[in-house]
Amino acid sequence: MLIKELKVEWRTKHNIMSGAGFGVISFMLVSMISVRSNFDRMGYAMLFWLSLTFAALLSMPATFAKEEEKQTASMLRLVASPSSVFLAKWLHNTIFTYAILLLLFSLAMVMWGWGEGLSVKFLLWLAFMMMFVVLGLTMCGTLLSAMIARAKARSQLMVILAFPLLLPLLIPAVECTALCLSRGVLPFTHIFWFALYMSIMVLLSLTLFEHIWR
Amino acid sequence: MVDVQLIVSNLSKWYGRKNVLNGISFHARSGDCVLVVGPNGSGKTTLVMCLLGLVERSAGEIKFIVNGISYTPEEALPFVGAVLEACEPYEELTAYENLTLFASLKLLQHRHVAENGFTIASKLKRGCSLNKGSLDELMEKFQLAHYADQPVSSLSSGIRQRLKLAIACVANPLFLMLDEPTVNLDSSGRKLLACAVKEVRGNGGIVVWTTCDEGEVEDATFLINLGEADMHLAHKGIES
Repeated sequence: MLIKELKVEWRTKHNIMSGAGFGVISFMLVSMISVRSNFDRMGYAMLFWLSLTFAALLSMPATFAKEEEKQTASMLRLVASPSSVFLAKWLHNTIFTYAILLLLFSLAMVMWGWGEGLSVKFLLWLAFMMMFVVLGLTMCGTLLSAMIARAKARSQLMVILAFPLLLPLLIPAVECTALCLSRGVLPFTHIFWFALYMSIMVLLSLTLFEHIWR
Repeated sequence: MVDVQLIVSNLSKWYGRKNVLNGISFHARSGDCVLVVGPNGSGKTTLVMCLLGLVERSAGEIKFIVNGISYTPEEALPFVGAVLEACEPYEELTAYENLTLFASLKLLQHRHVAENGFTIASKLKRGCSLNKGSLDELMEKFQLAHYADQPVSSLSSGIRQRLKLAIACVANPLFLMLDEPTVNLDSSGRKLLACAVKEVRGNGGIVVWTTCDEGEVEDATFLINLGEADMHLAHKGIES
């Protein structure tokens, strides 16, 4: 199923065009504005996560909505277990969001000077933390995408529902990013919080997705 | 021969105050073909969707029985193949890729059934094999080989319908649910459909076929007419 997801994505380029396109454009816009403003590391970290989150949230609803629109969802319901559908969709969203993350991080290194003078240790901390946050972000986004797939005002609903659910993840993510860039040690409480958030999302997905999908 | 039964008792479905299905009951056995007729909007698709567990029934009971073991519609899915109007293959994939995808998913479904102690599938040596030869054979059987590498979006509606039929038959189903299967099919497509139905029935399976035209199936065992005020079930030829 994951291979199917990737093949379809490669042929339609839907997420690549909408998600990555939005991410890069918003990042460039923010970079141009930030030249005149005096942002600190926290400000840049916030702008980075905003670009990444909105780019991911823009493309994620399509994963389930397209299945419903093109009537392939019923076909899947007949042959695939809800857990395998969720896993494939989540992995697809995660791979895609990692690609945007890589793209935006490369841009941040070039345009904002991220990583300059940063040791391998801090870079690894940063990468680890970002990858962990993205897992939570995509888990939450995939679950919400399934929930709103049958609603009419999909894109609006996604943002409205995602905002309160992602805020507890994004605020510590911004703080941690700024901390890593300042060569600070990541607080254990934040790492614990990411793990807890992820566990809650896994639990929610396991209990809710089957009912949502059926 | 596999002992297969489909027991439907007092199946009803309401959408709000609208009563779509009202106390449908029948008991089909190995080799039977249940023909469901009725005009548009009479609930034929709803009946098939209820049998597949895709629509929740409001009342009644559905039992799929395979060699004495009773399954709910959701549990019975590994044994079921379906051609539905509301089920489409992936347009972005080729015909062959679609067949491979659904064959592999069906195979997983069979393994899952076996892992849960329902070893019936492996005992019966049913289920699909994923080797290229058997899939090629299926493509040939439904005259799809010529279209194997074409994306589904470029296929005509008749060829798509054949592909849907091939996907439904990929795992030699014991229960074949056909919702107006002749739509868009030409005469050769109809012959292929008739052959597939004959094969399923010959293997001891049960076919449920919905249509607007009662004359479409000549050798149906049961007839359910959803268009009549007092719906009835009858052995065709005895009472209809």
